[in-house]
Amino acid sequence: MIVGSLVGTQFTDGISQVYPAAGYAGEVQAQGGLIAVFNLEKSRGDSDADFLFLGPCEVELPRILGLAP
Amino acid sequence: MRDLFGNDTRNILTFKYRALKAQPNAAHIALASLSIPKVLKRIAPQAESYHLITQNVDGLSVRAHKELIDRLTSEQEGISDAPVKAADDLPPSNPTYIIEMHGRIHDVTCSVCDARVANFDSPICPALGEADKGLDDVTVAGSRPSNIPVDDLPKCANCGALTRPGVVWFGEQPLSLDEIDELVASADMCLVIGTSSTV
Repeated sequence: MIVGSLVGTQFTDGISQVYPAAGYAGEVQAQGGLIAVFNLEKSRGDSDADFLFLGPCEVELPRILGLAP
Repeated sequence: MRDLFGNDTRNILTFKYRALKAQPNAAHIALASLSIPKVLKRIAPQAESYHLITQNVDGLSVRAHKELIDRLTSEQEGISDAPVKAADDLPPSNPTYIIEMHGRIHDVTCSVCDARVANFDSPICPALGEADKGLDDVTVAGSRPSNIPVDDLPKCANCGALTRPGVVWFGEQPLSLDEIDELVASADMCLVIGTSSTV
């Protein structure tokens, strides 16, 4: 199993003008990988994510990963 | 010419200056923590490897990695009978799991040859500092033209050509795309963290 984190992007269907990173999450999902989106607010493509955590990532990431300092 | 230090100077240096003053936050530290084998094992027991692909150019992911190592090793030093931390309890010494696909604002690259060096000076040369007085005032960033003579701009130590910030501009190819493609093609889980901005 390979775990990746992609920082500073938007999870979209890959047709946005944002290339190429916008398509990475969709590519991982297409091959059976799970997608967890951490973002301040809702954005396009969220409904395709397997998990969605809204809020400041400096709060949500440590909380969800159980890494609270 | 906009890819050289002489133009867009205020934007570039204002950002560099602010990035230098910024500190990694709990999210950067959490992501760095996943590079600790024991932590990754606990959170994702089946994980074979962990990779961090960032589009940020502020260098904060690498700084978080170094701060985490410092924090964990100094904890150890403070206690005389503390068990020595095994390699599994620490991040790897080099953050090779981090891919900064849009480069680094604190790097200076050559506009001609392939030279790339880290440069944490702010400003990186006197002429740019003069052109960018009042960097705290971000509202004026980019609003004043910089008419800096080419002679006063920083040059590549390797070949003497003009240097430029080590970041990927619009229209340029992001870095490490082959490596990223391989990782994406084999990833089983992806945490997408970040912005809703248009880039």
